[in-house]
Amino acid sequence: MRNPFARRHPFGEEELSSYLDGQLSPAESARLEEHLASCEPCGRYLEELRAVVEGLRRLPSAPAPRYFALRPEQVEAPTRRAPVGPDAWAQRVSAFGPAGVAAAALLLFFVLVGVDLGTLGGKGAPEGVAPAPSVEEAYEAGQALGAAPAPTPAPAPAERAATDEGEKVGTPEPTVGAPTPAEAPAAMAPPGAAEEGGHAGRWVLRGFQGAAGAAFLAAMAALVWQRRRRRGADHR
Amino acid sequence: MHAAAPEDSRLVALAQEGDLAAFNALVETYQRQVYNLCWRMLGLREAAEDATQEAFLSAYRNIRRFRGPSFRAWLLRIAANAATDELRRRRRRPQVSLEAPLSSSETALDLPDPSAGPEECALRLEQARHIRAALLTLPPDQRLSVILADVQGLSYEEVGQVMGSSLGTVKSRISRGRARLRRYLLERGELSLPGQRPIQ
Repeated sequence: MRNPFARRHPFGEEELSSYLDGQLSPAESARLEEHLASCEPCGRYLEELRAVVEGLRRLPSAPAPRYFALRPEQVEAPTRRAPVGPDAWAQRVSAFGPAGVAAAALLLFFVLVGVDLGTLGGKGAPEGVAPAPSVEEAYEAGQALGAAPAPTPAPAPAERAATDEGEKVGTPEPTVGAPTPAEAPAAMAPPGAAEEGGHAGRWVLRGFQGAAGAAFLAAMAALVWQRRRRRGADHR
Repeated sequence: MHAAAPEDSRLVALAQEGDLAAFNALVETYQRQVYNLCWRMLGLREAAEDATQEAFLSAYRNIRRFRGPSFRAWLLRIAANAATDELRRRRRRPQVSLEAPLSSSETALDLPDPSAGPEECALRLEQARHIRAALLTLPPDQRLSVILADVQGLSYEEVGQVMGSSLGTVKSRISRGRARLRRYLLERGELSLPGQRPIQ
């Protein structure tokens, strides 16, 4: 903003404006008055500013066009009734809104992905984790490696059961990829059956995952739609 | 500074207990000031009515949070916020331009005291029209500070309370607002003082 006084005058617009309102200290006011006595542009600026302020003060105060008193129905907060009747459960669920549904669907999706990775292993395992070999593979590997100590802290129960049967007491334990308890039944079953069961389970899980994903997307769409609708209502 | 009236304190205490009649007594006391603040901020009566109603509703809903000292400053702050919200809303959906030339129905409220004489009356009416239009060209923070200080007559301290700003900020906003108004009026030949050449 241009300030006509900034370069040539010791007082700026703010000081002159404050002077009009009696906001300067007596010492500052005295210095300003001394300057005004010898500076015509500052004197004129002050008069113009005074005319603006007087014009503003003369603006009439309009009467209120109506009585703005509040009515009881205006101030009553909308009360939420506890859901009753056959639709109670649905009402309670809908009270969480699409955001709650979306969060639940997302949680379900990740839980199912976790179950998928945990139970079905192999293809679904994350990178860096070796696929678990069957007991036979592990046993053969142990033989090939000689009497290497097992790095795994403890054998899985199913595996321990296999060794307790006394086929080879004192034989080296598998060195890598000890199956987890969840994997043990699959490892004990014939290879063909395990593969078939794994496929069936995986397809069921994929179905659940797809449903959860679809529910998540639907809930997000409902959320967006609801917000747009609310915004539209605000504008009306 | 406007001291909190004892009657205000009593009514505020009752309203904080949920007494709507007590709150409506406060509405009656301040509705003219709140409405005028909104009207000067917005320049349109209809918008000012909406903002005023919204301000009182918001004040009632939040009155338990009021801790003093000045109920008037607290209420005007709510009104200023309501007016600013209304301003934003109307800028997003410009049905009527807030910067449009002032209609006769709006100007009618600026009628000066008829005792001033017909010529003086016409002159003041014209000046009021220009000042009101000039006010609408100010940025909202400068507009609010000028309206509070010069139109409504609040002290700098009270303007600071309403705006939640320091005294230095208030002084600066008032001064910049007045400087802009001066320039606007000079450019339209509405402020030339007799026998003097205006400073540009």
